[in-house]
Amino acid sequence: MATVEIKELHKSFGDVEILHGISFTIPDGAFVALVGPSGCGKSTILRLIAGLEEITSGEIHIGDNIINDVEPKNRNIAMVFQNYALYPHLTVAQNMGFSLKLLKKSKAEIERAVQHTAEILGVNKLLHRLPKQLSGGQRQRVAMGRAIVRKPQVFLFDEPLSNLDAKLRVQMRAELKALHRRLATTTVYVTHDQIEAMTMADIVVVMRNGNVEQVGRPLELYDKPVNQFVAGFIGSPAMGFLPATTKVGSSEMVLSDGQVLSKPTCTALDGGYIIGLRPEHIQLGGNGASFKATIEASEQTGSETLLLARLADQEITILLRERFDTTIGDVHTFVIDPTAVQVFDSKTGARLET
Amino acid sequence: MSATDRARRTNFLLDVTLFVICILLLTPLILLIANGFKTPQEMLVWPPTLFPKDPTLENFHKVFTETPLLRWMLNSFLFAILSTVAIVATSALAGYIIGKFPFRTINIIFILFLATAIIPFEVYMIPLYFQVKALGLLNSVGGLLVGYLVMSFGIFLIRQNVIASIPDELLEAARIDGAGELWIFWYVVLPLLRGPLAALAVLAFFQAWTAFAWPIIVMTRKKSFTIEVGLANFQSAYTVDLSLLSAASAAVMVPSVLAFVLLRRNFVEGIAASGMKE
Amino acid sequence: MLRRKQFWFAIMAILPTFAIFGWVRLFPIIETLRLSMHEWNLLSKNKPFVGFQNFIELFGDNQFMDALTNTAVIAFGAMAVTIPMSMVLAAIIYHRTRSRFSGFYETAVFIPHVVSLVPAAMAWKWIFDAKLGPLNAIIMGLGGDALPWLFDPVLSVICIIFLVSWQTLGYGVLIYLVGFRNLPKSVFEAAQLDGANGFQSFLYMSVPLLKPITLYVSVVTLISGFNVYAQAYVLASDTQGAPGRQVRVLVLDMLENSFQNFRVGYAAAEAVILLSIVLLLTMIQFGLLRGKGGR
Repeated sequence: MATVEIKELHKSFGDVEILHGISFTIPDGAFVALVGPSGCGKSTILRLIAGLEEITSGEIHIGDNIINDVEPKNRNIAMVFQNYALYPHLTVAQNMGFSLKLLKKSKAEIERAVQHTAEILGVNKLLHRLPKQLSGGQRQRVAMGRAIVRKPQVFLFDEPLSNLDAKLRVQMRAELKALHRRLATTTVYVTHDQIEAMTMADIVVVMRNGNVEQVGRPLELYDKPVNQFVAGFIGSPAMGFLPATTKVGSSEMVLSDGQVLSKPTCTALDGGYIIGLRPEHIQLGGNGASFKATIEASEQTGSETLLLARLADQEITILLRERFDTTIGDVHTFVIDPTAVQVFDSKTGARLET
Repeated sequence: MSATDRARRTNFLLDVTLFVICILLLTPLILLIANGFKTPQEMLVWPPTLFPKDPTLENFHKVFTETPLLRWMLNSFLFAILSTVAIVATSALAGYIIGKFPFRTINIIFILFLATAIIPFEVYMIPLYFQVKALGLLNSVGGLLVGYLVMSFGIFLIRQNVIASIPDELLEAARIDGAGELWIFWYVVLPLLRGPLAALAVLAFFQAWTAFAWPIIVMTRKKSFTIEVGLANFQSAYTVDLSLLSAASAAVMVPSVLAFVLLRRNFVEGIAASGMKE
Repeated sequence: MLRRKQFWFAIMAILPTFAIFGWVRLFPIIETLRLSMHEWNLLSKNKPFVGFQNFIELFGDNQFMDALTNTAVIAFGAMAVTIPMSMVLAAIIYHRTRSRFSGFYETAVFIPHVVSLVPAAMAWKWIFDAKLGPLNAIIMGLGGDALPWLFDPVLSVICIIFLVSWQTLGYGVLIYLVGFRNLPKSVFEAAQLDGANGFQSFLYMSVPLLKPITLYVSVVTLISGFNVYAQAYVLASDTQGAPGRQVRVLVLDMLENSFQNFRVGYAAAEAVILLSIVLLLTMIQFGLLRGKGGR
């Protein structure tokens, strides 16, 4: 059983606390993504799980064991580094076989394991090459091969795709997902790219400034973000936020320019709130809450139009799944399904159920 | 045992090992200094004592008043200073030219510097000796200097630094503003080379201070010896008095060690740079 | 126009340095090569050309072969001691970089290198002294026999190797420290996760990755080893007190031939042999370095 449990994890470097009491559980065999902006502590958590840094307080469990004081090599985990960290002076075969060599396995056994893993990853023709003779994508596979060969109970990935070009990244995403399905090993995957997290993970952990903001399935985070930060972080292009006021029992949100957006029963009280509009939910025609906005910029991708518009003195993004010709300065009417409008407490940023 | 405790214990053991090794490495020098304070009789005692039972300053007093040690130190110092100035000056200018004026003739000159850089001084010092003799410069600091006026490594060091840290645009801008080449060298380039020049100065000084083979053939008169040569001949020239010998050696050693401890950063920079030239 | 001006400035500026260089370096080197093929006894104006005769004679000269052997043994011996010791020492010092003693370690290790050659040799001369030195005292205290360290042909060479290694250690440690600092940290973390302990990391990762540095330090210590002179001069006086005669080294033999035996051409031939050795070592280094895919 390779569940990973993080309990009240604190980490300080000197006097500076980086992680403020992190807790979450990763079920056996799940693919969990840790996302967040730079500096949120996601890589630190990974390194703590690996044992490359020391825990200041709190516990990490793998399976039934507390592993706080267990040496990295005894934790039965494998890690793929952001820059792959391949041994530059060893061939691909030697790179992948190194851990087995340290375990004093026989040469035949090592060769068999390396060959098998190399075939899974498609690098079996590269076994005699040195890392510097490989392309970025090939190096990435070898790094994964090195991790897989050890048959660990947990895989750790530290932004493994960030050094690849866009096309390769998309391809590798699919391959990694397929690999996970095949090996069914618990995986912790750190990335700053929320698209990677959303498309690859079973569970996503969103972090900010050393705290966990939300843990849940990708679609959960999309539909029911727990606060403004998560709502703005998940989804691309990002959600637009507008200040608005309302009255008790009213189903109307009044924007600062006087426009009104209707919302199904709002349990909000009198006062000011932040409403959130996802660009992809805004449309040109149809039924729903309507508003007028001035076009400031327009980008056509061939099948979609991305508009930057000004509404109630705020900039919002609108994504139309069609071609739409317009010029800067035009004013258009847009509609949005009232149930898709999110409401946030303007002081705490928490999302309010409606 | 927790991971931290384990690490702490290893570190402690390593520290102890390193300490012991460092003390062992320094022991010969400590003993030397200690010997300088012993009376001549105590030096002949068997088994030998580690630290003087009756410390005396007599040896040091004798060394400075009855031997030419002070004069030798002066010779060495003068030689080292002059050599340092010459080397820094020639390396700075030559390094700059080679680095920023890539004309074919200059490149050929650079290749010549390069090709002869690895040839040790001992190989060609005999003909140089005859040159110095022909000029009548034997037994003078001038004669000594002849062998230590330029340092190939110094030229490389400056060239590397000039290429790495002085952008061409800076020089172009100055030229467009109407500055003369010499002005550019003096006011733009030199200030930017302060670090490497300091490191080079320390290296050049050290090289001249510790030179042995060359001074020993150029200086034949006792009065003109450098410290190294003087000390080496001490035993045959002066005495078999070991305590005096130790005092003299200690007197020579302490200033250079002190200078090193104070200027450690520059020194280390210079030596590390020599490793990077490859 | 600007380019021509620059060209003349460059030529003028480099001229003094080049002139000095030509006078003190190029000319003597060429002279050495030339003299090696001539016979000159310092006094006469006559310097007859003798071709390779000097070289042929050298290889039959016992004193020269003695000097060559001694020098080679000292050079390779010192290298064999210095390289592993400085690598290991640098590894340990690097591991303790964060210790508050790291400055002390680096300084202490380097001081022997900084102490000039002669005082250092004097210090060791006393230690090795057969009748008065602490080394024999310790050996006898442990129940062994006193040895004539500085007067036995084999032992005195060992003493010189010891002294030279002691002096070179600091230099090696310094260069290796720079090397260690430039090693990619993530590679070691990967090795740690793969299960390597400190020693295994050192053996399988550090040592191979530091090969270029090992090569460089080897050649530098070898070359300076072949030029050894001061240490032998001080430590190895023979039984009559003549300095350096107990262990003949190349430089000593060369100077003797030139200034005491009045055979300058002969000495120049020795210098050329020394030069060839140095060039050979350097070329080997370049060859080995390039063979690894170079830099």
